[in-house]
Amino acid sequence: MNKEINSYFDNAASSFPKPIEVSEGVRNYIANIGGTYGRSAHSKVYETTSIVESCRDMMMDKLGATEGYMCWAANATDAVNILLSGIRSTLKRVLVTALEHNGVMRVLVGLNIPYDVVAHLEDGTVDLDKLSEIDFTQYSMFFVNHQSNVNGAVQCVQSIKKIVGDLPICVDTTQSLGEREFLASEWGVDYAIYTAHKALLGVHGLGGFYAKDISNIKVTRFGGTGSNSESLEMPNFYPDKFQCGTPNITGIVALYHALENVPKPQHSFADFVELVDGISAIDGLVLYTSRDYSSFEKQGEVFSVLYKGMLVSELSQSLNEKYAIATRSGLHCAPLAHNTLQTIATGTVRFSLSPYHTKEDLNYLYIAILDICK
Amino acid sequence: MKYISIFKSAREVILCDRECRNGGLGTRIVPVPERYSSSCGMSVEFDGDNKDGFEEIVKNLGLEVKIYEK
Repeated sequence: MNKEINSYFDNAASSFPKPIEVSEGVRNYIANIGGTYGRSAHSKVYETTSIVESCRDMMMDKLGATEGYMCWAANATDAVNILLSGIRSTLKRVLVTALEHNGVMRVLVGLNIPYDVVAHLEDGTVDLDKLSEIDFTQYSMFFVNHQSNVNGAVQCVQSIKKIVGDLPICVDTTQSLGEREFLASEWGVDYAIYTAHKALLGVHGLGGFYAKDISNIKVTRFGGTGSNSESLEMPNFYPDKFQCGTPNITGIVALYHALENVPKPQHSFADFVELVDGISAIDGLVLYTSRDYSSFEKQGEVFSVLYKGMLVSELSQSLNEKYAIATRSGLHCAPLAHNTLQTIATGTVRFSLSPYHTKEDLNYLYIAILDICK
Repeated sequence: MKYISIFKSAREVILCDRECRNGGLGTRIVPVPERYSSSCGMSVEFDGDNKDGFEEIVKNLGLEVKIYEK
């Protein structure tokens, strides 16, 4: 294999590579800075605390939040757990899109929160006409997966919020944030969930949630914060209220440097569309994208395929063994989405791009698929 | 005369100190004196000459602070 080819197409699982400044920044933190968050007052603690709070502010900017709050968590799923455990008593019944991930669905089921799936188009995106027919007074929240991790279909959060009005919406940006613009305040988003290690190009073990208002979120995790140390009770103020124990400072340092060094994409969206055009023309191959993958507003740079007569595990393995191409096969932790797309019995092979892919990398992928699916 | 300012959280200390530095107002980060609080975190020390400017910055940031003579 040509070593210059970037054959990693599993960025929806975890992005690779990262900006070089991420690893250099983490190394510098571990080797030269050290220090914890908000305990004591020496220079290392000050510098570390300053980085953590600067990164929090940068994440608010990334989320398009001009008001509200951003709290750290161990990952997106952890953030959903913290959030929903904290507002469980206010949730009677909720709505979800047909493309939700288990990061949301298992939490709803685990907390015994009843849900209804809204009507959808063929690609799983919300049928906005039918959405407007729902009696929203029967519901407490609407969960919207911004960009599907299976077919890359993008939900129009702005249009959804306009229709649901006062019904709070919680947007899962796990696949979208970093790849596409998010404007929490302008769109009227009430809650948003994110992870650091995908399109934001940070590392594992860090995620968080945005909330327009945190006054109604009960604390469900307890411990030391560095503040109010005389008390056995958790502080009731932000951010300490949701920050028990030492946060993942190394992960936050990585995210800080990732946000400071966002790479310029090395391929265009037109290159992506050209790749999908080519793949869609392969005989016997079924493509799973949004209903209009040529529209950036409707399609993220992730899609799935099935190929006749070949198991998804076989296709993924062949791509890996013959071309060192990394993909993900199976159900992608999103059985609801697979039910919607009618791939629950087979799973799919998923391809997900990175800003570091060049047009040559995309051509390499196309030729590999063409060779195996012949 | 020096003053010690105590905030609720480490985040508020950072926000205030960052703004003071940006405005050229000298500060020093010191441990919270135990006679004022049993918090194990940071407090912001500043000169008496800067008290008005400091209070203006805190007000503009919308922060709650307790200020003591050192």
